[in-house]
Amino acid sequence: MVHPAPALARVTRRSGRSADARAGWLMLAPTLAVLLSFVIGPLVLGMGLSFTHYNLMSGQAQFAGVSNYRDLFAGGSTFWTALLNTVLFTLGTVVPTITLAVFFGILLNQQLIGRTFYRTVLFAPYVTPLVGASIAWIWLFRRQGFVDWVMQLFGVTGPGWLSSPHTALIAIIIATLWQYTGYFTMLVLSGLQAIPPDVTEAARIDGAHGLSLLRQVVLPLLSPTILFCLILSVIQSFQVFDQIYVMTDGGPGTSTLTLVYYLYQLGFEFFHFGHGAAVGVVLLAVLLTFTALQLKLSSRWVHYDL
Amino acid sequence: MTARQPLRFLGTHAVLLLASALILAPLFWMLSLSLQNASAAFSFPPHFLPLPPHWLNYPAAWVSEPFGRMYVNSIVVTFGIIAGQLVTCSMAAYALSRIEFKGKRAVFLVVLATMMVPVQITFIPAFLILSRLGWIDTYQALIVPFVASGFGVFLLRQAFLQVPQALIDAARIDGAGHWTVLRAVMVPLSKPTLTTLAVLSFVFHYNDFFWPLIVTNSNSMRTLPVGLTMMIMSTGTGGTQWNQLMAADVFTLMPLIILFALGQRYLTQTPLTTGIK
Repeated sequence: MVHPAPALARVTRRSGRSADARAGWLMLAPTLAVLLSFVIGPLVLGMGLSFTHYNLMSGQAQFAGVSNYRDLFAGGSTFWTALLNTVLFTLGTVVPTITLAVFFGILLNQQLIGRTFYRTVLFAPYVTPLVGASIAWIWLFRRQGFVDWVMQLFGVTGPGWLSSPHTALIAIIIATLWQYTGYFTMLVLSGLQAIPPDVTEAARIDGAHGLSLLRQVVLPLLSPTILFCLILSVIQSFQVFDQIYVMTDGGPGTSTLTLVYYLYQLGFEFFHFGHGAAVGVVLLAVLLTFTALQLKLSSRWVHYDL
Repeated sequence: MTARQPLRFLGTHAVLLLASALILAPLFWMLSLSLQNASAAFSFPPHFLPLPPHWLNYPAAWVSEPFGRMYVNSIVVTFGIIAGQLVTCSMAAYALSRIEFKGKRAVFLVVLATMMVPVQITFIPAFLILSRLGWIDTYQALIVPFVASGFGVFLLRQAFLQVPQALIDAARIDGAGHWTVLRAVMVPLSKPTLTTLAVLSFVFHYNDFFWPLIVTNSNSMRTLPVGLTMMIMSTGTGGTQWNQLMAADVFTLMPLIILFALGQRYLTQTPLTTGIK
C-alpha cells in the first residue's frame, strides 16, 4: 500500500498514537494482571521464600540465608534421591517417547487403510485423565493383575511391579509412555506433513529409497520438529506428579520420589514452605540449563534449511 | 520394490494393530472391570468379559463419594476457565498483533516467558497468596489463576496475524475502533483457533489434579480427579472396590469422550503443530 486512502489517513490521525496505546494496554490488562498475580509474582515470591523459614501459625517469614539450600544439598539427603529419580524418569520417558513417536509418525504418514482409526486410537490416551489412567494402571500392575498374567503366558513371573523398589519407576514410565506417545506422534506427523512432497520425490529420483531416504532426507527435514518434541517432553517429564501421587506415593521407600512430588511433600504435607520453594528454584534452574543445553547442542543435528 | 509391497503392507498393519491393542488395553479393562462383580476383579487369570454385566456398580460408585457435586464443580471450573481465557487471550492477542505502541515487544516476550515456567514452582507461593485472600476452598481459587494463558495468547496471536490487513482497514474507515474490530472482524474470522484453544483448555483443566488437590479441602469443592483419589483412600488399597473405582473412572472420562468425538480435529491439528520450524 503506497498511498493510504485519504479517509484512512484521517482516521489514523484522529485516533492517534496515544489512543492506540490506551486501547493496547487496556486489552492487555486482564492477561497481565492474572499472569503477574499467579505466575510471575509467585515465581519471584518463591525465590524469596526459598531463603526463609516460614512459620505457618504466624504467617511470618524469617530470613534464613542459604540454610534451606544447604539442607537440600547435604550429602545423602532425600533431595539427591529425588533429583536422581527425576533424571532417570526423564531419560526413561523421553528417549522411548520420541523414538516411538517418530516411528509411528512415519508409519502413519503413508496412504494406509484405517489411518484415521489408528490416529484416533493413538491419540486417545492424551485426553484420558492422568489420574483415571493411573488408577487403571494400578490394577494392571498389581500382583496377579493383567501384566502379570501376560508375563505368565511367556513363562515369566511378575516382579510385583509397584511393590518392588526396582520396578516401580519402570511401571510409572510405562504408564507415562502410554499417556503421551500418541500426542508426540501427532506433532511428528504434522512435521512430516510439512515436508514438501517434491523434495522426497526428487531424492527418490536421485536413487534414495527406504532407509537411505529416511536417514538422509526425511529425518534432517524433521529435525526441528524433533527438537521441539524433545524440549517439550523433557520439561513435561521433569514435572511428573499425578502418576506418582496415585500409583506409588513416591514409594516403595523413596524409589519413585521425584522433584515435584518432593516439593508437594515438603510444602503440603510437612508445611516446610521454605524448603519446598527451594526445591522449586532448583527445578527451574535445572530445567533452564537443560533447555539451553539442548538448544546449544541442537546446532549439530538440527537443519532449518530445506 | 513392487514385489515387497504386500509384505510391507502386512508388516505395517501388524505393527499398528499390535500398538492399538496395547493402547486400548487399559481403557478396555477400565470398562470391563466397571461391570464385573467385586470378587471377579481379583480373579487370576483375569475375567476378560463382564458377563453378566453388573450395571449397579455405577450407581454404587456414584454415591460412594459426592460425585454429583464434584461433576458440577469440574464443569463449572472448566467452563469458567475456558470462558475467561477466550476473552482475555483474544484481547491480549489483538493488542499484540494489531496495535502499535511502545513496550509491546517487551510484553510479548514476558507473556511467552510465562509459558516456559513449570507451573508447580509457583504453587507454594500462589497457595500462600490465596490463603491470605481467604480464597482456599472456593471456586475463585480453582478458576481465577488460570483465566489468562500465555499459550492461549500465543496461539490466538498467530491466528489474528493471518487476518488480511485490508479487512481491518476497511472496518476502521467505516469508523470502527479497536474494540469493534476485535469483536466484529477478528473473533468471527478466528473461530477455528478459538475452538482449538477451548478444546485444549478443556482437556487440560478438566484433568488438572495438583492445583485442585491443594486448594480444596472439603468434599463440596473437590473436582473429579481429586474425588477419584479420595475414593482410593476411603476404600483402601487392600480391599479396593476395583469395580466401583473403575465405574467412577468411566463416568469421569465420559465428558472427554464426547469432547473427543466432537472436537478431535481441533485437538490434533493445532496451528502450533503446523507452525514449527
